[in-house]
Amino acid sequence: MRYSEAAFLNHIRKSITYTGAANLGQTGTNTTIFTVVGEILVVTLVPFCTVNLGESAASSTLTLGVTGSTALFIAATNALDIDANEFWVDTAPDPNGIALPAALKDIIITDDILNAHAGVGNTNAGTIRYELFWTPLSVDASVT
Amino acid sequence: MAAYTKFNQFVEDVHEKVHNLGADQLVVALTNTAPLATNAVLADITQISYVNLSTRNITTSSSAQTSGTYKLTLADLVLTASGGSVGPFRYVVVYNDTPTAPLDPLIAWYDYGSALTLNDTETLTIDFDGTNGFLTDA
Repeated sequence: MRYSEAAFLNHIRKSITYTGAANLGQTGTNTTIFTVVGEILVVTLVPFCTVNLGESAASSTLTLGVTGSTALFIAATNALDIDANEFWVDTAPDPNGIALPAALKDIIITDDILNAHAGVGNTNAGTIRYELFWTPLSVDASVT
Repeated sequence: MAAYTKFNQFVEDVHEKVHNLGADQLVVALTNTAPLATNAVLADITQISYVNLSTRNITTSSSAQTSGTYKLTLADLVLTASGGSVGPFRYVVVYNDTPTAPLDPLIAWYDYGSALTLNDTETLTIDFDGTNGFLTDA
């Protein structure tokens, strides 16, 4: 008799509402979305905007990346360009449907997934829902 | 990838009419205590609470032989936490829920590698090998 291995795929969802406060949209701070322990493979990461993002003054930008590489997934994007019912998969968010870019799948990371906020104003309104499918690489891997 | 570890009793059970792998209901059990190869039935496993967990029943995709090689293929199973957390657990045990004597005989287990807790709405997909099958017998 011969036996086969199995693979594990984890899914975690988190919605972030930006207020403009420190670590939640304020320029010069980061918003932690997922806390990562150990090494993981990001199978897919899909950000979907559910409420229009807003800014306290022109202009405000945010990236999507990890600690130490804050634009690993998506480069700086104007907050006002991210609207409800759009997939924020690059610097020009798309409604309806779009092929997931290579930067948002099959990425190996060791650090927290976050937004880095920059610009004159703060990102002070709006909500993005982040869908992360991941699989552990190290024995101690976890995502919360 | 998680390696399959068989329970020793399974190889005897499969040859003594305990299992009908083409018709019986296979189920996943979760535990945070390392199983032993000498465990034989579900009662030997210290299970976690399943209060907030979706169904653990596995769908059998196919059970057939080709050119003398039997292959059992299982559909991937998505475990979803709903209404609260599930776990922690580390080991995913597959057992047969249909037989009554012995009751709920064990088949195999997988090691996730570390203790895992599924928080509300989180899922864990157990991706069984769809190409090579869960097991083959030649």
